[in-house]
Amino acid sequence: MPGAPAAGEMLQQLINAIVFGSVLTLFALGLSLAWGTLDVLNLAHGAVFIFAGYLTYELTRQGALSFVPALIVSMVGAGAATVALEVLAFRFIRTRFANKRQAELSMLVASIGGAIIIDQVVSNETGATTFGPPSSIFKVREYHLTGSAGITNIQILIVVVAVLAAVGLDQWVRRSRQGRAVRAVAYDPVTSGLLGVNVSFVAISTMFVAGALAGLAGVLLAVNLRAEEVAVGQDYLLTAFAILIVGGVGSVRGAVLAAYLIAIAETAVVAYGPTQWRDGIAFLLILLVLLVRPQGLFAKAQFQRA
Amino acid sequence: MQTIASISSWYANNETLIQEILIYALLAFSIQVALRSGIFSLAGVGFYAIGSYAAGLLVKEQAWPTALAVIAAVLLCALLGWALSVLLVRLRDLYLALATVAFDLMVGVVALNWSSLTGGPLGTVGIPISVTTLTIFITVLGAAAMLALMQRGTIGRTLVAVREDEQLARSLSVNVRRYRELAFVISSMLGALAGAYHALLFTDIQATDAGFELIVLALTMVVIGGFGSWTGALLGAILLTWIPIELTSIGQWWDAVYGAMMIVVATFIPGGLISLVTIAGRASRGRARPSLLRRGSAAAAPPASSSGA
Amino acid sequence: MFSSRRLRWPGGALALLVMAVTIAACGSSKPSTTKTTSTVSSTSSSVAASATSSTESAGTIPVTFVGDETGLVAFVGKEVLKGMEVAVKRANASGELHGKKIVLSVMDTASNVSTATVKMSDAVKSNAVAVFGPLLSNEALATAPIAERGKVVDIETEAEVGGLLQIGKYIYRLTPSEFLYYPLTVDHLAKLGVKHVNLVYASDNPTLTEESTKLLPEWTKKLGISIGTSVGIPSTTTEFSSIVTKLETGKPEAIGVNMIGPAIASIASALRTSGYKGTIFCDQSATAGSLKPGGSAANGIIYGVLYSPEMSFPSSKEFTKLYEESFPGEKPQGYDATGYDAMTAFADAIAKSGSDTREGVLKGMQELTVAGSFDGGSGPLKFTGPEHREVSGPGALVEWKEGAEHMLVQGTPGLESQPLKAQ
Repeated sequence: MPGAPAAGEMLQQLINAIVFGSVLTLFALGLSLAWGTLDVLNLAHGAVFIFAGYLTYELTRQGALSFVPALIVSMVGAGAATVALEVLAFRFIRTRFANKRQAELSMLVASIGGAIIIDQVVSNETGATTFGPPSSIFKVREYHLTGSAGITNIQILIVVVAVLAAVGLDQWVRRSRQGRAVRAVAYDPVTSGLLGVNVSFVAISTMFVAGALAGLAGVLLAVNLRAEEVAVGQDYLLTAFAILIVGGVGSVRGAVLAAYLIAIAETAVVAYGPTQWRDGIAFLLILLVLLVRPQGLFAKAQFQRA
Repeated sequence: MQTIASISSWYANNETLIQEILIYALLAFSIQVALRSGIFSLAGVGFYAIGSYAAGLLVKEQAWPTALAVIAAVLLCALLGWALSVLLVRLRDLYLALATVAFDLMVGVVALNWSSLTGGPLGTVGIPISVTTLTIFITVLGAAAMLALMQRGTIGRTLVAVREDEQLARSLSVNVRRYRELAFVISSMLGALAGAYHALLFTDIQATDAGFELIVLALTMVVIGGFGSWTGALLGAILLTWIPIELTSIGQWWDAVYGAMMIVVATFIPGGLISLVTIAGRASRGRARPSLLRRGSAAAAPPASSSGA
Repeated sequence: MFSSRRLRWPGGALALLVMAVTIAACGSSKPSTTKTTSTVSSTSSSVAASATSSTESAGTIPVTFVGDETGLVAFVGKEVLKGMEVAVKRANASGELHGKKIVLSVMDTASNVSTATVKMSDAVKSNAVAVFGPLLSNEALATAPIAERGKVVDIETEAEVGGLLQIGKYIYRLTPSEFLYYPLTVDHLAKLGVKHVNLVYASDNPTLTEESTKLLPEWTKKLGISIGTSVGIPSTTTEFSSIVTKLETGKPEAIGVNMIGPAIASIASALRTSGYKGTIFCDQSATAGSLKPGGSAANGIIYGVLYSPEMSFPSSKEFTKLYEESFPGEKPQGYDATGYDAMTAFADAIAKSGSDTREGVLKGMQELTVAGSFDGGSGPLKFTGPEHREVSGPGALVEWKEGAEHMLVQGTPGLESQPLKAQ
């Protein structure tokens, strides 16, 4: 029966792709939210993501906290780091720079500065070497499915959390009062300010949510990967660029679909294709999509037109 | 006599630093000329990679004369740059930026996997040193003069018009597309020059040389220095090459200080550091006319200025 | 000049102030060659202190380490520096330097090629009689020509890239290539009865690519081991489950993980979680704590190393002892031995030629290579390669267990490379 192991392997690779897509989703949601509503392409998002993994490592390695409290503290820490950038830099740039292009550039550079500082903190505190939370905080177990395929409990958790976060964010933006304020600010910050929306509060809370989502992704990935280093954040950031472009900036649903699409494409290349071209997939997708459909493949409901 | 001696000894002590700055200045010009024309393109870094491989391989493998190899590399990139500008003609702002970043990184992936040409992960090493600092210096002067001319006169005004209001420019029968292509091609050529000189001066090319770090560095140079003028790009190239080298002496937190400086400048000095120089210059010249000062400082932050709304 | 009131943005003045202060602070320490180790690395203790004063005095031999003290491979650079300091202390106390003392200064490359080239030219222009090159291959390739043109002996460590020694006669590399002792691992696999292996390697890393696509296939073939799947992935990859699935196909008795950084521990953990029971082997980059985050999943991983504190060579034991005296409570690692070896060879060269000028150092190094070998922290090191400007070492095979390396096999000294013995 030569077909059976191949089928089992294919199922396993499909599971792998879905788990990878879920991590990408969690990572990209926050980035998309910040860009879609506040026009901030936050290049520190990858650094914040690693920062959360580092916080969990720091909080759990002496056994001070267990998994869930460490996760919450790390998410708050990641959110706070992002809010710090908003309060120290983005806020001033948004209100003082008359020209949108100038503001965009300055926010990019300010967020690069933020990423450098956060990376430096993590790398100095970890001796610039690999780190990861101890395995005792989350006992990873594998459940066997048919054939050789299996899925671990942390992978199940990642998929469930990613789906919940995506649905939750989508509903929050669409339905809640706060979400309507976010959309209003995205559409026209000046008018919504005149209409009584507290723009700076909306900006701060949006950036907090964006950072906390990066933190959530960072902690779950740290537990799943076991070992990481500062450079990992940048790799996710570059992939997330592709997700935003393919999915359409500001679209939650687009980002989710694009994340799974890219995960499946990259997994397929690793499983069946020329593996060393894996990095090229995301960049190629960015170019192709921008050439064919600059508004993104799935862009329909957006916070704001691009 | 004394001064000449001290200048030449200062030069001898800092030759490598000066070489780095000159090459980065060309790269910064490449990004600046695009940004100033309203094109948020970072493709200069990709052409830096292509230019370095083209010139390096032509000199090393084909034994071409240096001048010919550099010209060939620059022309190749001009052609590729034009093709890329045609492909990306519909894109604006951050979308264009991300598309060009994807292009740059794709160049790196191709370089890494095209081992028969580039040496793949082993890189291209042992390129003969074939340019002098003086050649690069003259090139930078020439590029600066060209950019200065582009900032003035009809071309300069047209480019500003294209940047600030495409519709208006079109209605004045400006061929917007042609101007954008021109800026894109010049940007590609400057990037290629920087890469070619780097390969021919520092003798080795790695596929990872022109990665995301170089994109970030080039962008930062131009924004921190000020992208309204070539002088800003030059200032950015000088400071961002020199400061990290000096800062390493403060030990393991130097990077954090560097990051903090970036945030402060990006947040509080919209026109880049060059605008402070302009303000200072005007202040010392026109003390008696404070009303000029305000207009002066606004003009120093170019996009926020000129066409106003 | 101008007052802050005149600026439109008060922050502008603040920015200028910050920059002015920082740069002034740094600028004042400009002649950076005279900076001794204590200002750079907090890790340097008594050794640096003894070297701080009297830089220019007659009895000193100034040398400079243009090394990675911050940035990507700072964790390596700091260890290499500690090893050098131990060697300086030993040489200065030994009297073999004709009554003079080595003074080591450090210039940080921040693991950045541009910074490294500038620092290297500063070092070449300084009074240093020899330089020790940076650790990353691309830094080494960019800086070695500067030392060669300046006619200064440049002793490279770690940077294991082809073409480096071809740059010229002033360039030495005193860290044995891991290609020379990787056969210990293959030999051990054959002894364990392994017949089939699968492999993953970093396709963008020159050393790991050459090792995995050229050398390993040769070695395994000789010992009757077949390589099934061989997957090259970029070292930036951060998703490993798809690779793990691929590695497990065909049920190999051993899996090779020739990756760098956290990928090794991640892949090993994922393999164990999915129930893989075979042997996992990897490259020497697994050393120095890279496997720690893997926890118990990393137990049993084998790899070749340059140095182990359990080595029985007298010079290794001496190094281990000296290191533990200098840095109480710390265990020496391979990277420490690397720095120690480089500095020890330099001191031996001065002892040979009796001259501590730049030309004297070159002459001494050449005499040392004629002698054929020297005793370093990683055992007796034999000069080999073009003009004998690099070395081979015995190496050792270690197993990672409960957070520490345990030596399984010690290599044989005096060979060009370790032999494949198992039938």
